[in-house]
Parts: sequence; structure tokens; C-alpha cells
Amino acid sequence: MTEDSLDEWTPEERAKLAEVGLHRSARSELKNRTMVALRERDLIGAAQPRRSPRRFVFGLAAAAVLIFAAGMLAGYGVGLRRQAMSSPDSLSRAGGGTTREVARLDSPSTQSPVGARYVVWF
Amino acid sequence: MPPVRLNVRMIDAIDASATDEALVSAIRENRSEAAFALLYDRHTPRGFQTAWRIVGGNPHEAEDVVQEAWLRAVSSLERWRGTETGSVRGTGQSDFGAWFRGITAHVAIDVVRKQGRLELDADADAVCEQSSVEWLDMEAAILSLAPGYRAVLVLHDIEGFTHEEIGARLGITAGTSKGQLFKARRAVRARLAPGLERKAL
Repeated sequence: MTEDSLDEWTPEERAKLAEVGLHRSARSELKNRTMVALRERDLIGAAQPRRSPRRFVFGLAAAAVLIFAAGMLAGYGVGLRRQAMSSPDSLSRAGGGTTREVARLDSPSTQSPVGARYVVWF
Repeated sequence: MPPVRLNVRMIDAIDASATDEALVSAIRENRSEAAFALLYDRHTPRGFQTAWRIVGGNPHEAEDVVQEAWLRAVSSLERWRGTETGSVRGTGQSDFGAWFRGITAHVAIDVVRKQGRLELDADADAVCEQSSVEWLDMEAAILSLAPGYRAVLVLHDIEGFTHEEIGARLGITAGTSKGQLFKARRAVRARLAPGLERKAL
């Protein structure tokens, strides 16, 4: 006789043993919770459209280059306009200015106000 | 051009009388939610009871165990081919339920082990909680066992695992599993109500 058989359950005990936990059941929310977890892991349901990380990085880099180029062009344009405004003989160099325009640009009233103040102080 | 996937929710119609094998195929091939829902309804009740017994009667822990068991089962469905006999002795037939309960038992043991409650050395006390009630019914007597002893008793006497399978799951030898079972049974009997107490004791 083995140790196991010496210690066997009686039929009555075995019946009680089979009943342990039989009346216990999971809450109904568990099903929904489990299905949500399975969907999140892409194990059931419609496949999630996967966004390629490589495409995302390329898109980000392209957007950064475009923004940089647009900023550079805008800055260059502003610089050109300022240069044109501050240079009195730019019109004559370009050959497009009339004598009146050259005279207006050369007059003291077109000088910068800061320059005029210096004349008053000294 | 990447292959176009159909929205399976639109074509997800499963016959309620489908076999477990058919449901598993539908999940593997079409990611069918309806097939999973049927499989869940069939096997969760027993899986929950297995988890509940091993974790010691805590329903919230048992639910967490069942959810994790389903995640592991669905992500490894290719390992169940419908020809396994599971761990139920003498069934000799395809049994998804036994396979799922095996996974559930494994997850439940992991939970108990992570909590540091799984003592399996020979000197450990078989009973962890001394109830103020002198006699207990079978369920309370089993739940009062120390987790390691309870796991061995539940796996062998209720779930039908062999000592070799229990040893593999708990990281002990088959001989140790037998010894633990012997002590666990004695501890349960010592606390059973007089009507259930074994006369030979």
C-alpha cells in the first residue's frame, strides 16, 4: 500500500472536494475587460493600422526642412528690403531713379532721425 | 502594396455550436471576436474556479489571473493543436479547457510566488491561518492551508495534475509534491467538521 492510498479521500470527502469553489464565478465585466486587453495587444478584432515609425521620422524631418527654408527665405527678403531702404544711391545704381527722387533721398529730411539728433547735440 | 485587411467585425459570424477547434481556428485566422467570446464563455467559469482556489479565495486576484491567462492563451494559440490531452488524466481527447486551466494554474502560481507566499520546504507549516472557528467545512479548510500546500492539493486532488506535472510547475520534485500533498490532506482533515472527519484518523 502506498502513502497516497493510505491517505486517500473517502467518497464523501471527495464529493465535498469537488464542490470547492464551484459556486464562485467571475464578474461579467471581466469579459469586456479581457476583450479590450486583447484588442489593445492586437490579438483579436480588426487589425490596427500601423503607423510606420520610419515614415513618421521622414515626415518630421521634411517638415523641419520646409520650416527652416521658409524662415531663411523670409529673413533674406526682409534683409534685402532693409538694405534697399537704407541705401540712398541704390536707386541711381539700379538706374531707375529720376533726378527728383535722387534729390529727395539726398535731402537732410530723409536722413535717420538719430543722425539729426547728433547734429543738434554737437 | 501592403495586403488589405478586411474589417472582421463585419464578417464575424460564428455558429454557437462550433467546436473549440473551429473557434480557435477562427481566432487564429480571422482574429474573430465572436469566436473568442464563445470560447471565453465556455472555459472561463472553470478557469476562474482554478485561479480562485490557488490564490486562496481572493476573487479580484482570481479575475486578474484569468485575464492574464487569456492573454497568454490567445497569443500562443498555435501551441494548441486540438490534439493535446491537456492535463486531465484519462480523457484521451482534445481538451482546450484542460490546456487553458493549465495556463491559468501557471499564472496563479506565479502570482502567489511573486507575493512570496509559496513556501514549499518540508518544515513549513501546512496551515497558515488559525481560525477562531474550531471546525471548518472543506472549502474553508483548504483556504486555510499555506499557499504552497494548497497549490499542491488543488492541482492534484481537484484539477487532476500528476505529481510530475506539479513538480515541473512548482519547481520541486515529484517526491516533494507527494510529501506536500500528504501533509496538506492531513491538515485539511484535522480541521474538517466532525461529520466529514475521516473515521480512520
